[in-house]
Amino acid sequence: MRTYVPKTIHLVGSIGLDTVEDVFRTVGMELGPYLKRIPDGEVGGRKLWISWQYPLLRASTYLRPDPSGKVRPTNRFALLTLAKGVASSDVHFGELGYAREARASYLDFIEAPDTWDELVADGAKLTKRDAAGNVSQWAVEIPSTGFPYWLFQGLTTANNVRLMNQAGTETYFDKPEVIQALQFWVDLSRKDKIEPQGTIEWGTTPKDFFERKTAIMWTSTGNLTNVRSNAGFPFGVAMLPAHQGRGSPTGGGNFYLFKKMTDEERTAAFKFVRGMTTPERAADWGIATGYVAVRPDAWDTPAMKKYVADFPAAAVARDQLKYAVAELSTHDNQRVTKALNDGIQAALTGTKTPEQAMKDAQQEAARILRASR
Amino acid sequence: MNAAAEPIARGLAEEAGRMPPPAVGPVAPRTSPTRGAPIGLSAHIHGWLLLLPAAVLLVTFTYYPAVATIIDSFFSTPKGRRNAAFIGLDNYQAMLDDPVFWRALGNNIVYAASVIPLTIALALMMAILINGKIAGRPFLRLSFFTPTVLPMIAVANIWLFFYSPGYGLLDQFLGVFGFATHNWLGDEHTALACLIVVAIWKDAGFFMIFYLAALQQMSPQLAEAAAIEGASRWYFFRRVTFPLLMPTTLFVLINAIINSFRLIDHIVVMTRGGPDNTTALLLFYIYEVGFKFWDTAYAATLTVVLLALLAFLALGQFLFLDRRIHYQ
Repeated sequence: MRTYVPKTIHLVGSIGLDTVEDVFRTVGMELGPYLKRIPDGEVGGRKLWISWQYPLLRASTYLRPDPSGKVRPTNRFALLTLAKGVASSDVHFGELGYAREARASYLDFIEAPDTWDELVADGAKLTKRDAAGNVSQWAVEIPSTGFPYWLFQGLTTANNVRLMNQAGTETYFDKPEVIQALQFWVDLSRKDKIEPQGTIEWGTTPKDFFERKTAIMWTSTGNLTNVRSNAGFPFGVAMLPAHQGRGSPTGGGNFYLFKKMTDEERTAAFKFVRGMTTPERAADWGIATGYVAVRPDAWDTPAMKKYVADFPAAAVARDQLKYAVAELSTHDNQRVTKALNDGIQAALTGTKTPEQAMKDAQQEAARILRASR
Repeated sequence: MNAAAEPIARGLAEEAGRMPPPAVGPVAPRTSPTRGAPIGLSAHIHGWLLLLPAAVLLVTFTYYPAVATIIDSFFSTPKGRRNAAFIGLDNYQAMLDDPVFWRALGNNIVYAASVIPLTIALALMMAILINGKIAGRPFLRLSFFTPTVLPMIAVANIWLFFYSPGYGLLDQFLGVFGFATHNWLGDEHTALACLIVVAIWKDAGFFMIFYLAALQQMSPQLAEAAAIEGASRWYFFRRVTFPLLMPTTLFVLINAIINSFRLIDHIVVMTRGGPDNTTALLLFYIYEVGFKFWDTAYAATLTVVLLALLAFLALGQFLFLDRRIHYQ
């Protein structure tokens, strides 16, 4: 249970630290929940605005040192006045670099990259290497052990392609768009070098994020509460980057009611399912884990409203659902899924090209599904 | 169970080796009252009743499942309303065409061929080390034995983090010597080796206990005699200690072989057979086919292969190795 802490501290002006990140981390660690506002000033060499602007002003042909020889008492800079014959309306300084600097420092706290191209571009900045070329922080990790097909659907759907038909009797693993999506994933590690090579373990990905081994992780919403409790730094949640469009798979599990049941069993099972999915319970479950609460009215419960107001990140995956497609599901599902998983892993480890991997996966899936048509 | 069975097996082997008894000198007359008299029906029943509990257990949990598995492997998997049908050798044909089966079999052979000798060698070395009088012996014994006591699922989760790239124990250790970080479990060249190390670490302590017990029963006179004769320590080990440990080695070997085909918990936790089946072992694949794909008939077929493989190995051990081993 989180206790409410009154936010009473306002900070204003510049703070004499080197980077924006330092400022945010320092005030975050020191003042934490009491902090209401953070400074809007600048950092590093520009923390004293007048000082860093001075060379620029001094170099301007519109200005000259004050003939009286007066200096600014704090830093001994000569006061400047208009040059001879210059009207104040004529003065302009060209590009001050302010906007550029602002954008650059904003990048430290960016919104997550919104498209595949941005992911690659930002990824280059987010990947930190030491002098020997060893990476201390990767830009992104997309876990690929166990069930890589699932997050792969986040890539294929964004590339505007479906992996199977509605009936679950056909798969489209070798479509060019699917191969492109896999090529993009493989390129993240092998060409762009912003993701670790080889397969990435699901279980250790959140820990990698906590240890700042990776700047961005793709993971299940079921990890959200874990991250919220264990990340020792501010973090954000964003939708998966878009390409042809947005996209993600659905997740979760199902309740099944069987045809062959007695009426008594059916009534009891139905009652159980109803009880498990009441708005209050769905909200509780969502708050406790991070999983998306499964029914819209769960989001109207007071508990959920308070939770989202306090922690807006919780609503991102919900809002992404309108771009989601059904999770891969076919006849003989586990086998077909394994064919795809093996193909994805073969491409990620470099044993097969994405094209070869997806052609093999499709062939295997088609062989398995022959019996279902 | 196995540990308890060993002396019995050894006793039987000794008995078998001594028959017929050497007929030298006058044989003392047997005093058994039933000798020569016909055995009564009640004695028969008595004997069978004594056997019954063991027989019931064996039939229920060993013979019946094995036979049922073999029968199932000749039928198709029942699906929905379609019952299992006799399909002869179709499952076996499908198995021969299944690349994942061959991969798993190959992986398992590499795995067994590495795990078995390394585990046994390590167990023997640890046993000899802590059999001697060295400082901190109880602590060493405890630390060698600890991996055996811990549940595999739990230690696999710990090893997962040992191997994690960057901040994992292994990478941190290697980083001290200037090695770059490596994605140990995510690289098809290193994943299986990583699992082999876990298996060795897990079992070496267990086998060490058997070697330690055998070493402690060994008469100190042998070492004294060898010392008087001027045998070097290595010579003594090679010609005296190791041959005398052979019965233990056989027992340990059988268990190591069984474990190398039986223990897959760490695979479920650490790699789930990936990347791209490079760490799939036979039993893990059987589990996938049987309980994820629910293709029970094909799982039975794969199980028959595993059974045959293990039976063949066990037979080889008892028929060939056992004859060469000297029992005291």
